[in-house]
Amino acid sequence: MNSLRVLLAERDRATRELLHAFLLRAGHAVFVAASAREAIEAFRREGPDVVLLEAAMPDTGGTDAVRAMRDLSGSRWVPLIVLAAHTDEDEVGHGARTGADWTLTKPCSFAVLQARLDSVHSIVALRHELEHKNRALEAFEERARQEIRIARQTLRSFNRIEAAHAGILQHWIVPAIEFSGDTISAAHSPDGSFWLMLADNIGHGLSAALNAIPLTRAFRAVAAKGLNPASMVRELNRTARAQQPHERFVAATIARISGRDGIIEVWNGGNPEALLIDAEGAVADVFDSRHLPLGILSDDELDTHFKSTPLVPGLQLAVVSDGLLETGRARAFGQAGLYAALSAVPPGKRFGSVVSRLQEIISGLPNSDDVSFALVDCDAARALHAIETANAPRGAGLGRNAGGEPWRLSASFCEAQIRRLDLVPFIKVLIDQIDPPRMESQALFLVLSELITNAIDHGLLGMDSRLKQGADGYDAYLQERARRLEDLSGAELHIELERNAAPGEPLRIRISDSGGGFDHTRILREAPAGAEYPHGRGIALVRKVVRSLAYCDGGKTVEVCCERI
Amino acid sequence: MNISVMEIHGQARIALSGRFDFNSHRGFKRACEAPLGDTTVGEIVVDLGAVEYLDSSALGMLLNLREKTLALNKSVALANCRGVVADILGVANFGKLFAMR
Repeated sequence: MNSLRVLLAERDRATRELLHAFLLRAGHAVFVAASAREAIEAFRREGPDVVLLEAAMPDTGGTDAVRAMRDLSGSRWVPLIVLAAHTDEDEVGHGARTGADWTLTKPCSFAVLQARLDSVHSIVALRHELEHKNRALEAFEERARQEIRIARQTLRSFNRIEAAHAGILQHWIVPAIEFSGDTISAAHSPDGSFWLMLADNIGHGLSAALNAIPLTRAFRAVAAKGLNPASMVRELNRTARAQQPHERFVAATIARISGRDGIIEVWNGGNPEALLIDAEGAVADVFDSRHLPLGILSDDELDTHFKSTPLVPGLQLAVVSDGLLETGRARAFGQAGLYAALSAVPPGKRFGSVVSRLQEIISGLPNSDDVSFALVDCDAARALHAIETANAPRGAGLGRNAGGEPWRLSASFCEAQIRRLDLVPFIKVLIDQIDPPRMESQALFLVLSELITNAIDHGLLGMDSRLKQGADGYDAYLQERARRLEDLSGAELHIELERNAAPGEPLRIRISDSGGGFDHTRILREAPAGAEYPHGRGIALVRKVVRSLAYCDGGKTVEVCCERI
Repeated sequence: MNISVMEIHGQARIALSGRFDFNSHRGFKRACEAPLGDTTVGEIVVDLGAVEYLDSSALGMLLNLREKTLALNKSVALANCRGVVADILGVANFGKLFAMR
């Protein structure tokens, strides 16, 4: 039944009672008023669905009543039907002009009135539905806003660059939509290397940003373990493959800056070229995309080769995703724009120069892609290594056996394992579980790293550190090393670690290789004690942090005593 | 995007023109179905000569096609890559996965 709540305002009693009876018979709820004032009061009190109002009313007058009711109902529309005397054209026109929705002339046929009320009913029904849907929509929007707020907080906190890296890395990300599918992450490894990853996850928005999380975690974990660059790429590629269907790949630029090795090395799969700029603003090197993006190839197919360049003073590394270069669309920022913004100003102002130039272009334009830019101060990154080694504890008198129980770890590796395993982190993880350090100390990693690397590189493979010198030296060294490692057979590397139970007992490390031995006295004599640690002379570094270091067996065995804090 | 498919001597040629982006997903998938299902087709060539622009979802679609062709022991190649298309495929190093004609 099309029942409505009707407010009937009619001065003439006969008309009023006639209409009242008709409306009741038709099944409507009726509220009656005999004057404009009563009508307004009833309107306020009852909130009717429709008003039937006599045009000319005493008191405030019919037209004022219309206005008053409009005010009362506010944004909610209540149909107002004015009943005008047909003889009075003024009344008829007036009703329409002052805000009534329809005018019916008196005497009106009940059929006409009924038809009008029927159409009012469908309108009212529609209006109710609309209001209901609007309320539901508002509630949904509010919930969505809340969730977005929380998501943004969570992601921001997760992606935050830690304070230790703030002096090394400046970065800027502008998402296309609320959340960016581009991520910039920084980390450092126990040997003092600084790591950077700029990853461009396919797509935009929240789903892209969420997809980036496992990759960021893998990046941080691998760096913390001190795994080598090839392992980093392999692990990231596996993570990208595992979690997404492979048509959702990740373009990534991965950079490692090592003060210890004296190099900057970069792996770029699918991003625009990274630029290395010197203090004068000239391009020192360029790292273009040489690999497929992460997440596409299998382990065997993956190329983990990094391009390396010497780490000399005054360098900055600029890394970007393609959104940045394509900003501005028609007059795109481009490689040229990036280079111009970087080289035009001194090093300290370069970041600001690029950002403000981009902001000029972006303002007023909706972003079609995520834009991101990172600038690494290579001098500051290099200093990470110096800080680590300067803080390394030395000498006697410190160190207590934390666990209390004596322990001994002995392991032998043949060439197949040496090829396959990243031995230094492997051993370090074992030690950390047997005899956990009381506080953060990279000294042990440093010592293990130097001794094991020496045993493999010099002892078993017979590599000459001098090969590392020169522009492509590091690369050439790695390639020759890989070749010799491939050919190696019948080799053995023996690693022994132990700590006795008495308090103050140091950690003893003994490493033997089955190689030809070397003249260790010469190495120890030549090693400088200065702050510069060019590659190949790590033994000097080790000597600074351990209690004692001795070679025997013609150089094939080295024994070290060091504190375990 | 307009797509046309032609088969000659065991080679299916899928020619695309216009913008190859996330809106092309349905059309591209449909166009690949017949050549993939046809046992007489040994090679599928995607002709990008008339493509103005492709985005990362297009790269994803090409990867998908490659997976399917490998699974069926067919081969896949990309042809007539020029300008912006060649640049994008170059940066992504797709030449390592696809024969380029």
